[in-house]
Amino acid sequence: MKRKLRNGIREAFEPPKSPGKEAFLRNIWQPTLDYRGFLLSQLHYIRKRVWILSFLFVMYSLLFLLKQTEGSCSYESVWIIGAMLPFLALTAVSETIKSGWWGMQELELSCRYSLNQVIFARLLFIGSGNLITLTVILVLTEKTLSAGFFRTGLYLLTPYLLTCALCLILSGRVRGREGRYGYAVTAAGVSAANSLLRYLEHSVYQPDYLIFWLFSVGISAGIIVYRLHCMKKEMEARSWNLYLAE
Amino acid sequence: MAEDIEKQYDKIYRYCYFKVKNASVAEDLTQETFLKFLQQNSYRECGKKMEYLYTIARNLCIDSLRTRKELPLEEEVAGKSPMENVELNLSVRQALSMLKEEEQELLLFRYVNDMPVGKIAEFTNQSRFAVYRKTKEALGKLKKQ
Repeated sequence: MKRKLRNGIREAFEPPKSPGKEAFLRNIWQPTLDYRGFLLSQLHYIRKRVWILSFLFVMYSLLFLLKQTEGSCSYESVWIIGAMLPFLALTAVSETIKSGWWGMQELELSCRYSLNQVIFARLLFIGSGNLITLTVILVLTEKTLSAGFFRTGLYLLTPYLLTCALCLILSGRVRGREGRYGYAVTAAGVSAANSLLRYLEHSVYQPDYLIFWLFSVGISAGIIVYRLHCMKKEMEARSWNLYLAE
Repeated sequence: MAEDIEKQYDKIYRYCYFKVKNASVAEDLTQETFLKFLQQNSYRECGKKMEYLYTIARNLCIDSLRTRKELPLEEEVAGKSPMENVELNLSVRQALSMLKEEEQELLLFRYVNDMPVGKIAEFTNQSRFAVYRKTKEALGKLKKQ
C-alpha cells in the first residue's frame, strides 16, 4: 500500500483535537501496575532456594568435572550430573504450582492478573534460570566427552524433561500439599532410573541408543506442552466460573 | 503507562468520532468508555484491553445515536495538512464517504488505529479471510475513485 494513500486515509479519519483530553488523563485514576511491573513483581515471589540450588548445581558440576582428566571419566560425568537434574526440575515444578499447596488458587484466580499469568510469568523466570544452568552444565560436561553438544544435551535433557513431564501429570491427579511427596518420589525415581540405566546397560550412551534418547526427549517435551496447555484451559474455565459466582 | 493510555484514548476518540461525527459527543463518549472500563471489575488481563475498550465504546456510540439522533453533523476541513496534500486528502475523504460504513470502519481499524487483522476479525465477529478480503475490496474502491 502506498504511503501517500495510507497517510491520506489517516488524515481523513483524523478527528478534531479533543480539548478535554489532557485534563481527563491527568485526573483519571489508573491502575499503577502495568504488565512489565507485574512480571518483575513475580521475580520477588520466586524463593531464593531455587536460585541457590541452580547455583549449587553449576558449582558441583564445575568441581566434579575439574577433578576429571580428559578421557578418564568417559560417560560417568553424564549420568552423575544427569542424575542430579531431576531435582532441579523438581524445584522448578514445585515453585511454579505452589499456589495450590497453600490454598491460594481461588484468590489468585480472581485477581486482575490471574493465576494463569502468575504461573506463566514464574515459568518464564524459572525456565530462563534453568536454561542458563543447563547450558552452563552442558558446556562443562561436553568438555570431558567427545560426544558433541547435541548428544550430551540429549543425555542431560532427558532426566530433566522427564521429571518435569511426570510432575506435571501428577499435578493434574493429586491436588494440594500431598502432591509434594509425589513430586519428590518422582524426581528421586527418575534420578535412580538414570543411574540404574547406566549399570544395567553399559552402552546406553553409545550412538546406537541415540534414537531412544531422542524419543524420550520428544515424548517428555510433548507431555510438558500438552499439560501446560491443559492447565491454562483449566484455569481459564475456573476463573470464568469464579466470575459467574461473584 | 501514561503514554499507553494516551494512545488508547486517541484510538477510542477517533473511533467514537467516526461513529457519531461530532467532536464533543465523541469526547464525552471516549471519557465515558474509560470511566466504565475502570469502574468495572470483570476485565481479566489477557491482552485484549483494546478490544474491550472498543466494545464499550461501540455500545456507548450505539446508545448515543439512538437517543440523540438530532445532532448536527460536523464538516471539518483538513486545515493542518501542507498545501500539496490538501487535494489528496480531500479526494481521499470524498472517496471514503462513498464507501459503506462497514468498509470505512475496517479501514479505520486496519490503517489508522493499526489493529491486526486477527483482532479486527474477533471484534467484528468475522473470519480473518473475510476481514482481509473486505479491506482489500475497500482499498480497491478507494484507489479507483
